[in-house]
Amino acid sequence: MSVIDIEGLRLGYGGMAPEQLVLDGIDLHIDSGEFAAIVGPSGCGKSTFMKLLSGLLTPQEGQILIDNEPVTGPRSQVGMAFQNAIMLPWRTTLDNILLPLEVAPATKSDFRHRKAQYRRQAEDLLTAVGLEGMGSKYPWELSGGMRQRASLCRAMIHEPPLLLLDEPFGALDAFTKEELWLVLQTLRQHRTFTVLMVTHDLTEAVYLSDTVYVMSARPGRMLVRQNITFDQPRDLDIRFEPGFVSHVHDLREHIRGTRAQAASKPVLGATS
Amino acid sequence: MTTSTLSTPATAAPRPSRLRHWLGWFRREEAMSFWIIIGFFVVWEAVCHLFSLPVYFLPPPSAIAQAAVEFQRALMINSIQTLWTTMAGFGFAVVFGLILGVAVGGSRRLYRGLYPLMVGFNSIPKVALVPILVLWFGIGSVPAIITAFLISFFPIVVNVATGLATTEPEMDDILRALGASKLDRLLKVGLPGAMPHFFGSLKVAITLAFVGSVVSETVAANSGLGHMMLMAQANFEVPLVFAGLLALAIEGVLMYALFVVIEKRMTGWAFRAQSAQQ
Repeated sequence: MSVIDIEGLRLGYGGMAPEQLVLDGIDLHIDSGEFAAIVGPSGCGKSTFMKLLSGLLTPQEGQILIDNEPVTGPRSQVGMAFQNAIMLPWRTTLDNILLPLEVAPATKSDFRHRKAQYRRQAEDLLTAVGLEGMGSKYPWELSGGMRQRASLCRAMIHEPPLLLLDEPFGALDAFTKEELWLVLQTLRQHRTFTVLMVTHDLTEAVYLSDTVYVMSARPGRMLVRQNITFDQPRDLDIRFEPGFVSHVHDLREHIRGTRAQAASKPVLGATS
Repeated sequence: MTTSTLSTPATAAPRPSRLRHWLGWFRREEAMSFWIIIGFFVVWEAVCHLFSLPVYFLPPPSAIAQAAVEFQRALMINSIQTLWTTMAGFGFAVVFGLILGVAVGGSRRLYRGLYPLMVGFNSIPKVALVPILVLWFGIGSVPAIITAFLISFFPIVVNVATGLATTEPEMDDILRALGASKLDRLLKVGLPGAMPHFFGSLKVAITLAFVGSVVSETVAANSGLGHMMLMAQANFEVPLVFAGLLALAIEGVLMYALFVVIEKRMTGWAFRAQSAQQ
């Protein structure tokens, strides 16, 4: 579990001039154990935001606190999964999942001694995501959906209190996507952890999250915060209930607004 | 038909099918290279006889084979000499190529700094270096080894560096976010990922190494296939010159094949991963 506190976050690539600014004054508070989703037009700096949270980038202004400690560099309390479930093709699925434990400073030194225990841990995770007994397979023997499940296992093997998901299911077909939503829900029933997910899929955002944030076009700001109060775990059919649909509809309207704003911006820039 | 199968004992039955299986190989795609090589020599032989070319101009394969048998001792000794200088130079190239490739591929600063110098070195015709090497080390095996090393070194460096540079950025992000050290990222992800590039470059490098050692032997040596061919040419033993060329070609093909096998063994995952994606 982990609390995220972000205040006055600003970041520009190469400088702080308006055209270099990527994130412009983000304030965000995510509670411990919360599932938060960020939606927004493409190129709004969502992925940059994820890098800031994992400590790969440092902001020019403002600060990020995780568990009341400022993020100053990479920290292994974070698990990450991307749209592209990149796995090392020369390692079996199980060895791919164990990789974080092999390299993270906290577990690296006694990895060899505790390998049996870690393997059991990885096998449990594989079972939880529906890949029981698939650990010995190589990544190219798995389908796209299976690889993404394995990549979730890799993100969670070191039991990070915070999981960062950057469009994790973006490349999957609709049915596989639904299966993985359920997998994510199951994982959250096993163990409580905070999740921050960036996505383009509004249904996905509403279905999985406790809170959805709408980000503006570049430079990114958080425009709207929407609480989703349906009980967890949620049934897939909830997507067709009027309350759910209206959430999705509201979010779509907000994003359309930000896109229109972005389109009119070059004209404003030219006159100023 | 039916009577014959009834009359023959059961143990005789597999024989014709095994023969057919054996003959079947010659019709397979893998056998194409075999037929092409046979065809090449047949055409060569035919051209020599058809235009009655003098042996000192272009000897037919039969004359070359005769010379190879006649001078088999010299051919053998010099082949081994060339093979060992080539492999020694190639061995140094692998070790230094790997080290420099990792250094250059791992550091942008080194990459930008060293690259122009390396390209410059590589553009120098290696034959121009041999007189300098002779000046330093005298005539013999050492200049051949060094020339083989110099010529086969560059493709290994470039390929290892490229392999390291093409690590997936997201994979790197995951590892960096975990706090993994630079060494761990290199050993667990960068180097294994660069291995297909590395083993691929060895195939190129080994054939280049032969070029290097033979060039040096031709200019300054008292043994080796290059030296033998030069001597044979001076004595007007043209079939022996060609026999030397053939011996070189055979050594090159064998070494190339060896590194194809090693490549498949070491980085079979790259081939399988690729075929799975198709």
